[in-house]
Amino acid sequence: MELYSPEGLRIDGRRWNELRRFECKINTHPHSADGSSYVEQGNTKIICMVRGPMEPAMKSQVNATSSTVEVNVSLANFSTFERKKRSKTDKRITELKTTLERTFNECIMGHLYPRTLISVTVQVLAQDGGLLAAMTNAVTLALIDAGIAMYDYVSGVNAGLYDQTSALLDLNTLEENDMCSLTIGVIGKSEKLALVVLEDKLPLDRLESVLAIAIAGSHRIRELMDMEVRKHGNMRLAKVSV
Amino acid sequence: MSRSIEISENQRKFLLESLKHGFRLTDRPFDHVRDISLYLSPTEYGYVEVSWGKTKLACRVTATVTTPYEDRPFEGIFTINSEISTMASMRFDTSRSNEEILIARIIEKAVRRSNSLDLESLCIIAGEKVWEITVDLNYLNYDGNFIDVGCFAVMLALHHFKKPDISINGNSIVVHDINERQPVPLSILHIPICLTYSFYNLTDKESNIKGEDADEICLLDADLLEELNRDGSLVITLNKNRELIQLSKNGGLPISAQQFLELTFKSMKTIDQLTDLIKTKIKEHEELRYKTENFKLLEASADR
Amino acid sequence: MTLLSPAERSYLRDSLTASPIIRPDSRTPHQFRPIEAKTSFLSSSNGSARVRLIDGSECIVSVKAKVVDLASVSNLVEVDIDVDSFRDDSNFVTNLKFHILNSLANFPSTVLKLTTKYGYKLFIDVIVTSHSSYPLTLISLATYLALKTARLPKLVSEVNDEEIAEQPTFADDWAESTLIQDLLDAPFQPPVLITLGIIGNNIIFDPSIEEEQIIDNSLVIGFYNGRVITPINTISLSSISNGVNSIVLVKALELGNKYGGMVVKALDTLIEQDIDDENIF
Repeated sequence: MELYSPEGLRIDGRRWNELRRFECKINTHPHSADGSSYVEQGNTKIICMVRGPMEPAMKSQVNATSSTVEVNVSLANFSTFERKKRSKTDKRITELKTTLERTFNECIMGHLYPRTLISVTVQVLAQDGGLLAAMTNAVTLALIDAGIAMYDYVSGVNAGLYDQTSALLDLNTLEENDMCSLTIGVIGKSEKLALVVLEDKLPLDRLESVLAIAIAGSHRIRELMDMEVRKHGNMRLAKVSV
Repeated sequence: MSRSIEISENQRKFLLESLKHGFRLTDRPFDHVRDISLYLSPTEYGYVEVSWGKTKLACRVTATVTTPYEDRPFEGIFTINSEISTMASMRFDTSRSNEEILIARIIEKAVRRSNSLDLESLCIIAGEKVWEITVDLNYLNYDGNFIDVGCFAVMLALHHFKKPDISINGNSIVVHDINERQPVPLSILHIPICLTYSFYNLTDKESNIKGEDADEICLLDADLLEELNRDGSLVITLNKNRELIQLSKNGGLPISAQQFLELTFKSMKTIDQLTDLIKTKIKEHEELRYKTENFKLLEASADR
Repeated sequence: MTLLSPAERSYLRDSLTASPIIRPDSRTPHQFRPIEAKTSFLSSSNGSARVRLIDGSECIVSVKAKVVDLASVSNLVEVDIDVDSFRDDSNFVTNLKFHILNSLANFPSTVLKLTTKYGYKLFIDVIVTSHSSYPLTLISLATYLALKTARLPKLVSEVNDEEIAEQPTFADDWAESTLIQDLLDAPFQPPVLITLGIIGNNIIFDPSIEEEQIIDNSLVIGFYNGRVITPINTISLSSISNGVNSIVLVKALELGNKYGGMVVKALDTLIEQDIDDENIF
């Protein structure tokens, strides 16, 4: 089973520069959270809930000049193909949550909410590649739904290099296991990178091509997220102005 | 309870102002690493002490014979322990903070996950006996940048280490003492070197995110004061073969893709320098040992 | 955590001990809160269900089956519960796990036996993303839905594999998978756990969080095969814990018998009416 056929088709029939099916919904949990979202990137399914800005539970979380962002990541036991019980203090989970905290601390207008806590809960129901990217998108949407002021969208996607030659966009699990995968988080329509994670070997001279296609993919995802946010906004507006 | 190091506003502003004017408080160029001093133990194999400026750590490699994992019967076991004790700084205590876990993860990704040590060469009897190589990092003094120094020390120690020679008699193995038979160096496939860049935003957040110009300051190998005041960091791990082992920008100040690419290309120069440093140091050490321990007498071949 | 002021408590107590009972959300005494549910939305699980209440309480259950060597495992059903903001080893979570696992003690494990050597082990994973009142009923309803809609692949290799060394093989076509229902002769109705509130001589079904703070005691009963069965436990859901009058207890069991069937029927109707798309929302 070839991951990338000579005709240019991948195992799910996509071409090298095509994203997987991206579905998102905001305000999915209106009663249990201030902001919520649900993101599906291919078969990766993530629920995100945001509570805040609120009174911090611990004195150590009080920051006099800015809000504190706290992220909790929970991977369901059934999220991977093989059911596996996961500890909440796994190193990988800690790394993911620290990355998300540090990314959104920069993009939220924290100075507007000093001495408050913004608590983000990310619940992963299914993983099929592009986990960090999908989580970034879910958190962005949930924060927007919560009405927390941000400078711009942070959209994430991953890209990889097949066989040292072909750059492929938006990898699923099978592809991620077989080739290096670069995950980036891009600010809005710019080319500014909020987060970059590469965990496998990639030839330095190929970095530019993989990065370029990842940035293009992130911009496309930003458009899709923006469409959904506007759609939801128009719907709410229609209900009010009757 | 870990105590956070408090920096006064004065110190912070002084640092940022001097960066704005183009110099670091220690008068080092922005893209230079600190002075490195290395100590390789002359009496045992696998113990090194590395200092980059005032950041100091000791690294020890040990080997034991054990049974391999069931799903990998042909591979040896390689683990890296990097827990930071309060000895390095009051910032670190017994609770593993996120910072510490991040440091351990990055060193692990750089060295272990990238297969820098050939695990198949550690196999003795397939499925039954393999070498288990354990690397213990002891952080002695914290003056910023544990990641780069840690990774460097691990690679140096692995090069310095030699495992005891082995002979196999049917199903039993005999481990020879190092005085009995010459110990064998490890098979290292490539040398990953980590470089940490720290970013500083001298304007406000909005100009950084919305603005077009890349006004962010970027320093290589930050010391303690610089590290505590930084707005973001990027760890690039490369080897001499121009292969990117890993990249970690875990959030922090956003930087433009252009600047990001430039940094990765610029890093190659420093990577080459540091890799050569490891190789020359090890070679010097070998020659020293050869002389002091009179290996010439042990040689079985004659000079032609 | 006290939510209610003394004035509110007094008001609620008076209305809940009145005859006829007045509930703050104007439900009848045996009426459950409306639920919204969805099944079979996780493509990598054999069965999945999501149940949500109007106040935001939500529970997602996944059922995954794994082929195991029957000689090496002791139990064929394993339950794991994750409630947000509670530690996995806390009493709260352990109690919930115990109740659910107990209620599945009657699970027809003959259905899980594939061949002489191998069988399925079911892993039931529960995630409670948010809750206000005691989530046991919520979890139980979701587990019911997940088990009823779970599909198991069809066995293609020999049933009698005493002599055979290979593991069992299955049909590749998912359309040939079967519901647990279809593998049994009798109707398959996993038990449900219903929470009742007892206040004075009055009994209410499915107490909300405000009601939970006022009631004397709560009762958890199982309902299976058209009748109330064990477990029958009292739980105190608030700081109040008065005893349970034996007459009231018997009356509670009668009501359970009378109305329990409606809960199961509602769940079955939900399954029938569920649109077969993979959208979770």
